[in-house]
Amino acid sequence: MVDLIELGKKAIKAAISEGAEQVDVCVTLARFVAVNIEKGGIKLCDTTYDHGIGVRAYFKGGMGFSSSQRLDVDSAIRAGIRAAKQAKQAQPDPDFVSLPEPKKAPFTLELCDKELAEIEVERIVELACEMIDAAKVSKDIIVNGGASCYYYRRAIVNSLGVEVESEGTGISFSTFCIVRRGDDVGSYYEWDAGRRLKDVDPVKVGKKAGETCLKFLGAKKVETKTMTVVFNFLPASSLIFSVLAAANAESVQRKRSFLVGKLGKKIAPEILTVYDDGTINYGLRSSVYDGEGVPKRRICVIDKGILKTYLHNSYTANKAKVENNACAVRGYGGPPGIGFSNVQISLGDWSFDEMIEETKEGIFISAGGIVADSVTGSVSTSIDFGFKIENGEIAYPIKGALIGGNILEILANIDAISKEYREEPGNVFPAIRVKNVKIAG
Amino acid sequence: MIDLMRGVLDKYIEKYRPEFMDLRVFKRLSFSVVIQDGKADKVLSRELWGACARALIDGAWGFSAINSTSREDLERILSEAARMAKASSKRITERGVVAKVKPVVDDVELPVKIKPENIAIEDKVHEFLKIEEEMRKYDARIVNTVLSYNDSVDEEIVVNSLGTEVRQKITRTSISAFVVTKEGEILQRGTEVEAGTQGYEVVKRFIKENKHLKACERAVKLLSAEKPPAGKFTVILDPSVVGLLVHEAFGHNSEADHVLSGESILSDKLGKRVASPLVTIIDDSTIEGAYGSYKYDSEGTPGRKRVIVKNGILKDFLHSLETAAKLNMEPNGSARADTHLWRPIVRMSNTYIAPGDWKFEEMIEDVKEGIYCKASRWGYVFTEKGQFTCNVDESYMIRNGELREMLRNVSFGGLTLETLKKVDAVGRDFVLADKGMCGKAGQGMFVGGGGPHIRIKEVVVGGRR
Repeated sequence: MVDLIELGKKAIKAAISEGAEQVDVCVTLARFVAVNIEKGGIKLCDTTYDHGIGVRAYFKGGMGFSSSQRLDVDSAIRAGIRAAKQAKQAQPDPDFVSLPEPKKAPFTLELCDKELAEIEVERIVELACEMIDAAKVSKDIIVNGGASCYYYRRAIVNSLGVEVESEGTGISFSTFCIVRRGDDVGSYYEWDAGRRLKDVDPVKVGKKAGETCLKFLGAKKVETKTMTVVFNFLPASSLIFSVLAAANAESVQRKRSFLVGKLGKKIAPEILTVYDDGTINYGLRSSVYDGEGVPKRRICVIDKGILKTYLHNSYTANKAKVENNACAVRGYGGPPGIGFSNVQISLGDWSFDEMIEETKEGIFISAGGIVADSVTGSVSTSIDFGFKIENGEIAYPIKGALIGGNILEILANIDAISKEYREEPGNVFPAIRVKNVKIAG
Repeated sequence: MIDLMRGVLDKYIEKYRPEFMDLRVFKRLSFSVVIQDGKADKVLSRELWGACARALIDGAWGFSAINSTSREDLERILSEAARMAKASSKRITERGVVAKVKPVVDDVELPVKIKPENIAIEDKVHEFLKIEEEMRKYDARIVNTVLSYNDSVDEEIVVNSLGTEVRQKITRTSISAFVVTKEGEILQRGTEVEAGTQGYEVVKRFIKENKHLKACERAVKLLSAEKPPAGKFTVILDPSVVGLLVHEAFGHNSEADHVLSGESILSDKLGKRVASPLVTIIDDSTIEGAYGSYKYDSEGTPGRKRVIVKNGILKDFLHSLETAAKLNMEPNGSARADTHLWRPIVRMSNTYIAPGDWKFEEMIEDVKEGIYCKASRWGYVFTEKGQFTCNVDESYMIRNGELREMLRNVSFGGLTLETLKKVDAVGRDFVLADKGMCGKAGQGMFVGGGGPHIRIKEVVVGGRR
């Protein structure tokens, strides 16, 4: 078995001897098994072995980075030397203070399912077939989709003594169902993901996509109007993801985020609280350490409507002179960026049915991402899976409609959050209702 | 390498007697520089290198990939691909097939004028710093500037059981300017890109055309632009937005894998009217220097100029070896893979609407109220419904035949077949203006697009007033 940490240390040694002042390395090794579904059958099975090393070197704060897909000592040394040389070709950056010092996490996490680490493709095919059968709630439904699982090992090593290694597993099932009757088309997708086999339910995924695609037959166009919009669990989560993406401290420091100047300010009503929590056992995006080897934590990003913090890595935290909240994300192919992990949105006291019942006229966005531009905050996109709400009832599916607005206005107009939610390992996504949204049709 | 690949492949063909088997080796060396707020703060190099194998056995497909090209690992992925095909065979609804094409043996390198590796890194950094400085100095309201440069050399070798042995080398260079402006609470952005299957001449062209300053100009002007209105309008699209529209609204639907999986609205439309008679849509991978160009696809099939729609009538789809065999059509070299870690799938190359005979002034003069959309940004489509969305950076109201106030953050969307039938004017100009990446099934791919200016009636525009 390849010793990932030893390989990382060899790359660091090479970079330091080439003149780099600080160095860190990410080494990963992964196996993926995937099943591709087309028209209710198995189209293809595949197995992929992906591994690589990425070395980041600093010289007077300038960054050099080099990666390779070879995990042998020579390639690691070559990547280390290249990264150091390139760091010297970058320019000094006085805002760079230091890579993180080693710090042991005060907790451990379960992220690996032994059963999944050794699963055979035949078992995934069986489960995929159960999903296909469940999706066929009507004979004429076309079932496409897939299933995939992975096992990985990852090491983060730096020249200040950080040496952390982790392993994990994951599995996901997805279905895309289409039904055609004459010129009329209904479609819907659903997925489920987890780190353990027992956390996913392929039959539920198939059934949900199959049943819901039928509901999209007979879609009608809507008029251009300002209306109330109920965002189902996933569209609601996509709105919140847009806020978390803009909370990237590097974007804020570079002044290219709509959250510049909003720290400590009210950006949403009191009913909205959002946590980013990377410390949940078997959480989809959990890890003990972030992409720079700093222990993860539970971060309150929005507290009762107030923006409490930006998401940092070591560079941005040092520059802002604040505590690093460990949001560096990283693969071997590039230098670390900043990202969020598991997202938990506070539950409200409305039932989902009440939210619909108390909407005289509106739109229910059932699925599809509604995303804001991270610079301008502009939201302008199609409603791909929506229904018209009339007199407190979901009346009919819609087509050809667009939603327009600005994320900060949309957040300010949130007036209800549901008690029901979509639970994914680590994530909690309730439905969210927003007043006064411009819909074009 | 080819001899090693052929030897190993033949051994496994002998062992498994597949209907089809191939082995592909891919290597990419890339180099990037990011200049930000006055500093070259990142210099990066990456090396991707590995192999993948496909096997079609008893009508079932298997695929396997690894970041290695050793004999041992080539054998490992061939045997894994065969094992995966066996697993697939448990539940196939349609047998896989491959078109029996004439094998190709070739070794090609797409020509470039200035090899990027011949320019010293110091000289590149020096040149980029100068450009970025001009951006920062353009206007006091500019708060962030990013200049990104990337060059890469791909080498792909395809060896298959039909006898094909193709080695292809492609150099790509791209440079982009990104600017953020701020005034009061308003933030706006501007982006310009130049890219091609070319060398450092891409940078020279970017500078000559002052593209970095165009990004600045747009970001500054957008600060005082109006919010767009919502509703149905006549729209005039510039060549970059035409490239985006034809790619999203139509191109993805013409990919034959979508046709076969039931995810295309065009599956029963061959030979039928799908657009206004003014519309001819072409996908052409043979345009020298264009970002989506190549000589051979990732199955070793020669790319070509494909006329998808002629005067509004659907004529062809984009094919892989499998989709062509299943639909009993001719392969046209459209199967491309994002490195060795992914299997080839049907992709567009450079997709455009062919020019017509309208002048821009004629197009605009009888528009009472409409929107002129310039500078495409992003788009996507749900092909099964033919429902697309396009987002543009810069737009203008048209009133009584004249361009009026500037609008920001305009999106328009609709249903492909309805929208393309409402094209009532196609310009005589032509620019292959779009250069970017297209995402499909998890894979990224280099594509180009464009056309002339076109005019479409009754398009839904998503606005805020």
